[in-house]
Amino acid sequence: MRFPRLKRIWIFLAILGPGVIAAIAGNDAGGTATYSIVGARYGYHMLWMLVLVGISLIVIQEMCARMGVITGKGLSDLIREEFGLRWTLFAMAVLLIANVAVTISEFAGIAASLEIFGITRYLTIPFMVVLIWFLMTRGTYKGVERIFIAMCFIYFAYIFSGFLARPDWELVFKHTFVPSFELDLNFILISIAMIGTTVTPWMQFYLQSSVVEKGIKMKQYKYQKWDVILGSIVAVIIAFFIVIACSAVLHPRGIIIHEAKEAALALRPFAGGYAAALFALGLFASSTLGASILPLSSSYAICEAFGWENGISKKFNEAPVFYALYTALILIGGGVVLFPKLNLINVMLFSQTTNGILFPFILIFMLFLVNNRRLMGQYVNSKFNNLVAWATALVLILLTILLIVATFTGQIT
Amino acid sequence: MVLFSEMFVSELKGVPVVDRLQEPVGEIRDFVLTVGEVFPKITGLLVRVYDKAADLLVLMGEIDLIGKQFVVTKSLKERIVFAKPRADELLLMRDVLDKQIVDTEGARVIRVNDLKLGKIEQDVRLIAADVGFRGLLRRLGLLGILDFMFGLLRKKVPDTLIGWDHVEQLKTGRAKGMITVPTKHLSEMHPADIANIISQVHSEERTAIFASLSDKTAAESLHELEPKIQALLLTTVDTKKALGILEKMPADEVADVLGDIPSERAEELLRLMKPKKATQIRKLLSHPEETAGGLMTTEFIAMPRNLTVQQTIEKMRELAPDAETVYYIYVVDEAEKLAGVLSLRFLIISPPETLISKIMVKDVIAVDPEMNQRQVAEVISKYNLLAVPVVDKDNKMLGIVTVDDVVDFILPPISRRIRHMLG
Repeated sequence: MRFPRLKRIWIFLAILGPGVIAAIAGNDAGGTATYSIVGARYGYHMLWMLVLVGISLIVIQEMCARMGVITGKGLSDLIREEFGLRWTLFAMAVLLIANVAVTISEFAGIAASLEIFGITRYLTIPFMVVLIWFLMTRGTYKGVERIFIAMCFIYFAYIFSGFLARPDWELVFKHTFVPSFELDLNFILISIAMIGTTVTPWMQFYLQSSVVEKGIKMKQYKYQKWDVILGSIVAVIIAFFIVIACSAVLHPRGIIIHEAKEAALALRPFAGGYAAALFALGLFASSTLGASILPLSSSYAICEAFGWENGISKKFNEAPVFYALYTALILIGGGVVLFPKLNLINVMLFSQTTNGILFPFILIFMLFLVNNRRLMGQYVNSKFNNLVAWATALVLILLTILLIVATFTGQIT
Repeated sequence: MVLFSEMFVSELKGVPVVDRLQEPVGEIRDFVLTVGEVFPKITGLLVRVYDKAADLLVLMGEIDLIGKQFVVTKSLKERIVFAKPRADELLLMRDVLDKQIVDTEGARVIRVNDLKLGKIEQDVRLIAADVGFRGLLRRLGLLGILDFMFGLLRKKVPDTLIGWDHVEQLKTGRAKGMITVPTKHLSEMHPADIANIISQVHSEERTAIFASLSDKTAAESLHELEPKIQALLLTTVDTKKALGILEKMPADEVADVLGDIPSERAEELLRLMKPKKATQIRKLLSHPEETAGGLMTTEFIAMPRNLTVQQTIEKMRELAPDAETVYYIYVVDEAEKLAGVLSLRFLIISPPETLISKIMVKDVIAVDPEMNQRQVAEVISKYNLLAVPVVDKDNKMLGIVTVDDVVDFILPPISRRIRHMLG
């Protein structure tokens, strides 16, 4: 009360959260796998794309937070109220498919990380499924969450590793600004995955709900805005260095990553013999975080859109659909990973491609909402925001069409 | 005007409008309604008029019959009077359907899946909101399939309707400056239920609902809410209302709330409050929130030791309205030091002429202002007290902590409302 100057910092710290946390947690199993594969298989060639994705991430997340502040409503509420039931059904189906895919990849991440320690997935997955279900529904999650978020800071190790691996900085610089593209099925697939893992459907719903939940007003929005921008920048910088580290360490040796422990080698310049353990810990934390948040956030979004009772404070018979959805998502996520001989890295990669293919649909809903003057008043999108967001949607649609064409013309290399 | 039985809005959307000679005029786009009555009256139809390629308003007086197959007008196509809809018209599908409403009977916030229209005397009125699964399927045109499937099982899925007399509409989705529906039931609900609803709606509506309550109801509901929401509400309602509400709250609760809101706002409110109460609150605010000092209220009953039972009872009649609890009467000496305590029961059953210093309990269990709130809770629970006095080093009485201030520490945290999301 007596420190007005300190107060400003306090406000910033209090609001700091949704954006930065979402960004750090967003670097989950799928993200780690995809960025590692990008670096290992294509070297520095995709860096330019990552920069562009970074810009669209900032623009889209800011858009989303702004919508939450102005309307005071979550994304699924807005879709239901402005587009009616049929479109809501469509949007929720899209969200559900995307989130099932990501949940599977999170469990794949959990399995992969613990297999590095030599524990079989047939033990770890059932255990984690039960653990997560109880943590989340029994409300003891909040405390545990902090530990996992703290563990996610392991990913900063990639920045050191990226420097210590002595990459060819001239080449890095060149590929950051000079685009190159290959009309090849794998290249397209991985491009979509890279965009889809950076800007995801679930993140929009999650971020907007947390902004609404915090009750942030327009006056405080400048802090929130910086939180979102900072978070996006942090996320992209980490992604950037994952790619650089993998390019410098794995690419020259021709390791294209079939297993998680190969991806761990990229941390060797920094962590030496502990690379595998460090990588596994980071992957485990971020995957568990994702596997905890995603099923719950999906259930909230869907139940709110259809007006079903929801919330972990309700009992099972008060909110049956909510609990059924939540449980089903976790069981599917864990169950799919238990299929014998499933390649976990491919699961993580393909789930991100699914995300990327589906994201434009959600983005287009968002664009119509954020440009609706009746809702947003003077805070509708600027021309630049619209340009970036529409370009993102169109590029993803175009890449998807290319992917379909490439699949059917049999250009599989 | 004839309305074939009761109908759902979803069944009427897009229904063709024809004139009395069956000439097509257009199709239904929406319904215009007026508010202010328990069952809002439908005053006209918003019709997509084919000839004019525009959405125009046809008043109810022009309509002869409304059916699921078509709507018939009274006059010929050329003679129908169309009006241009105003921007602030309240439209059923745009402004009510798919939005959230408050079900005042069930004390919950719920989404409208469909709306039921009915005929009351000569008017078509909005009579109920469909919030159930049937409403969803009807909107999607899948109700037939559901009924068929359940028909095979010889079962029927019932409608989940909420009569509009039990509905409180929220401000949601309506453009600024539109008429707000007067609060019918909301203000009559239990403060805890109101708090439950406030915690479920969006931030703008929180303020709207809160501002519409009487100062007393608002004060009681505020106490039931999470600190975060309390702070939000007190910073968003206008200052006059905020002061009125704080006036109705006991000093310790005011101090709790003010401790959570931005300091400028807290200062502003304190400056405008009655000086006596403001001083009390400032004193309370100087104690850390999680200690006995932070929890206590200064509104207790203290009596000088030289009074008789009769005098005490008379004096209590004057003081009691302000005190937080009347069950304990604290007895203080000339130096305002705590000398003893007296229960209300004991006071009443004692002869009127007795001095209270003779019948009081001298070994008073008291706590010091720095004691942690959990320990305070333990003390209260251990000695089965309704309140415990807080005294300083000189045994001077500062305030009391009542059992309802610490009940959250005594009971397991089941009653806490944990609302939503992880952010």
